[in-house]
Amino acid sequence: MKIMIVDDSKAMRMIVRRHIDSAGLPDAEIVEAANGQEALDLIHQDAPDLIFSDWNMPEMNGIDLLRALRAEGSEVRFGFVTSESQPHMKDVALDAGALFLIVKPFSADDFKAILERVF
Amino acid sequence: MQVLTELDLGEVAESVWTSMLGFELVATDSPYDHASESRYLLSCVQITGPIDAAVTVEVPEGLGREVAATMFGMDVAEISDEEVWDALGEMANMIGGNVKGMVSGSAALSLPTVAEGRDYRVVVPGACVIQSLTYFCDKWLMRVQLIGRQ
Repeated sequence: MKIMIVDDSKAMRMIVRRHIDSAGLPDAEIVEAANGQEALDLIHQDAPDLIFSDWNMPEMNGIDLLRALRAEGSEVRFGFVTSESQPHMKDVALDAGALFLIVKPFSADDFKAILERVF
Repeated sequence: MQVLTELDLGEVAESVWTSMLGFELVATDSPYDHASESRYLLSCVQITGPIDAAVTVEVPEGLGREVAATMFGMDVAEISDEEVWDALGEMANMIGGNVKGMVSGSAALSLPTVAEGRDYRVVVPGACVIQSLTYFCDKWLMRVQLIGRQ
């Protein structure tokens, strides 16, 4: 299984990676990108099975990344890991085709529940 | 401005600090004084929209390196300056994002900014301190503030 983590914070990418490991997917192949544009370029090469994306990022933010993917017909599983906790943000995310929104700070259980639901 | 004074900044800050780092924050009435520290860091995110505010997190360099080492899962000695800035920026981002989540209406959150050095002052013109919380984190004093424009 290939999982992409998109976040402009290297520290947060590291934490998400550890949570994926501890949620029961230690053998997942992890691909990282620092913003939406970099992710978009990599997705065409790497075809991930699941994308965990931050919302606020330079270059291209997470919601624009998701909309760009859906506009080109991609149905890749996509969810947000973000500090954006306003209720309407979740509606915006789901309307755009996201499967979930994990709010920072999060726990290992949050990731485990999401991975069980998505796969 | 009323909405800002009703926010429980402490609950947000302590939750972020504990859940992401496993560090306990102990509130103190001690004045925040970083004069004894050679260098310290301030990370900041701004919230715009129904409110015009900023969240700042100030820590001495030693604590900043501990935070980064914990987030990256590395030894303090291995941590670079860029990794400290990244980690502290993310901590302010998480606190600011949760503060933003308590505000009704559509608000925007800026990307984080981090300042580092000694003997400097950060000012948001026309703004005042809404809430200021000083904590002990292990042996270090640190401060979290919510600043807003009138």
